[in-house]
Amino acid sequence: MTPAATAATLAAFVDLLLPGDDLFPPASTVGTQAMLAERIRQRFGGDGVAEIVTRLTKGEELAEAVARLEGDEPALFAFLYSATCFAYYQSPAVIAAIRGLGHEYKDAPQPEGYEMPRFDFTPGINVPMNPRGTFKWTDWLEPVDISGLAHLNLPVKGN
Amino acid sequence: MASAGRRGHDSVDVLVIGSGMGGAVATRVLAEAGLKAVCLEQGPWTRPQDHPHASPDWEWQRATNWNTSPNVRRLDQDYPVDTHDETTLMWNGVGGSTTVYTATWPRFRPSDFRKGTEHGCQPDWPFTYENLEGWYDQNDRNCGVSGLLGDHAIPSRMPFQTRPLPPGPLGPVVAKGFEKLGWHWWPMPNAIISEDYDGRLACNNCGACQSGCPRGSLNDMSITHWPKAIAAGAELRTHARVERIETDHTGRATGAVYVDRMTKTRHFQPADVVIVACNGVGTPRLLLLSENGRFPRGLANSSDMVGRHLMHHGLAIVEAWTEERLDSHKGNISAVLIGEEFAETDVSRGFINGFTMHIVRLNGAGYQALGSHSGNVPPWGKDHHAWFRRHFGHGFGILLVGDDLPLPDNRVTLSETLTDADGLPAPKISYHLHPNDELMMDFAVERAKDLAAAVNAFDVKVNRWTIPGRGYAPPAWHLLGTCRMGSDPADSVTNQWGQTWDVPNLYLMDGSLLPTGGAVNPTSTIGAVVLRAASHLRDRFAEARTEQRSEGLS
Repeated sequence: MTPAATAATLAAFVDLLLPGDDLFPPASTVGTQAMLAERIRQRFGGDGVAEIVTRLTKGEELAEAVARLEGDEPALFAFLYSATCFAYYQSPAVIAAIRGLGHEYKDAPQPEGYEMPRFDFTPGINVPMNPRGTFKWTDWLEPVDISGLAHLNLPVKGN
Repeated sequence: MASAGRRGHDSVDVLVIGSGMGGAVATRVLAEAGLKAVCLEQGPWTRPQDHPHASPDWEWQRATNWNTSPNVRRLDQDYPVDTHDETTLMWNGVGGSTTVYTATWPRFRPSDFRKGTEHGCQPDWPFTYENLEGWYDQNDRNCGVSGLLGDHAIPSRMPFQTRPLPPGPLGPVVAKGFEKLGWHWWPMPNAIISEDYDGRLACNNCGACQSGCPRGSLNDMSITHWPKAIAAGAELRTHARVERIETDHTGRATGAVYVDRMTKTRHFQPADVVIVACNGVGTPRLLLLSENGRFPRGLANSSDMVGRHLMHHGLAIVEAWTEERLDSHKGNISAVLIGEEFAETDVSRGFINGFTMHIVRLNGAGYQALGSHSGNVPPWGKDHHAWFRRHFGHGFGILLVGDDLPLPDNRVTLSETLTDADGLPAPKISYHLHPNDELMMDFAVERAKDLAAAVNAFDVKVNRWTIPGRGYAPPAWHLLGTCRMGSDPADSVTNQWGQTWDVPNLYLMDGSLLPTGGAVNPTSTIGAVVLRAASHLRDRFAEARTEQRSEGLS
């Protein structure tokens, strides 16, 4: 397979996984396939991309090949799907789409972080109106009857 | 004295092995007392710019070279863990695993120290909660903890250093669910400062705590303790991988042999007192690696307790998605609230011990599109984006943390097949939940589903961390109990001060000491236990320097 065909197959693969809609771009349009190729290379070595592309083009439609891969080799598929998603969701165009949904979402967590309202000490907001909860001081502790749990074969002092 | 093939160093008062929570606290205490202390750390320093937080691929890095598992990262300083029973969290570098933890900072309960008295299935600690209380407070001051006084579910305490972290929209939504059910809830204490403190910047809510904290807001020991320990005169030697601890003809530890990973030279560091603080996996591994003719089963292992009673907590997570926007990617990842309604033993539930509920967030868009913590993975193809629109920013996790029984066959041994880069056998881990703990987690998951229903969740996903054909295989975030302290040399490895029963000048100071694991994150307790033990050692160092083995170590 030529390098051009390999690249085209990877582009079709990521678009099959993340095809885009009226807001989110198709994965190949934001370069997801290039990052995927690099991450495959890091994980599986120099021949990794060619080997995976070969599996995706074995005499069947791409969608069928991907469905087969998902069923037959779930670990490999999970890696490819996660590498694709991570690459896609770091793309500036996809981050812009997330912002288009009304979320404040930064290009990366730092250096800015996120402004959030400070903790509100008013009871009923961030603090219980009527706090619950109990505990026993050491001197208040008494043995409990575990005779009804004999079927659990509980250990003695962890031994 | 160094033998052929290894370089010698001047003897020091105390040698500390490992620079994480335990090693950092111990070194700081002893160095500030004027003792000459050297710490050997097999990994490097992590600089602020080494963290991935400012990189576009920060989530990918978290999944790979910043993964919490050494078996995934496979960095030069890591050692592999031979196990199919869990995914072990561990960071090998200055600060240890405080480099990649969440800094969730609840305390144990008084009953956690008295399980032997309560039901006899776990040992009593050799001291009580009340004995540790002041050390908890002092350790908190050293680390910087955010939180709110007044929780009725635990003993009162000294003030927190800063106010609670911002709960965002998530806090009130889940609090309403707790209220509806009539269950306890409270803001979770976190060792992440919400206001500037002790020269450190307040958290800016970036949401990526699990790759460390480049701002220094989170209590990473490389930031909060090591600069002070070094200023007090301690020497921290990085890239120093310890091979073994050596002993003399009297049975006292003489020091440790280590490899400088940069130069591949072998060294011997003599010391009057040796402290091992390599975590609940690394510490038993090193003791077992240090076997010799006098200690054929490994150092401090005459009771055959070294490596046994490994605890990780029973863990499960239930994720829920609500119509309300929760901003799941903003703010500290874990945790916003804690629920301790079921923390104490109630045998009418059909099991002993208890669990807590932690309300946690879900990371960034990549993680949320891949199922976050529960594996609720959206479909690929045309329905993916609709799923993402509906779920992103609307989810949260109910992390369930149960007190697992310490079992002798849950243990760390030495691998016969795996080694680290220097040829040292890797630790091998066997770990399974007792049926009691399985029942407890079954019950816990049902209660988490109740909470999800109480907040009117439109989607709920349960992760029991089971692998088909293999069963429960949790993320082992907490490494506890493998060299437990006690009152009887027959069923413990050390006395209440971390001093090993067998080797009088060998001390252990990390999570391996804990006889029980409680039902909460353990790092605040590890810090308090080590602070107490190291302070005791400091106060009797002249005696410890020459102490011989006797029956009176307790």
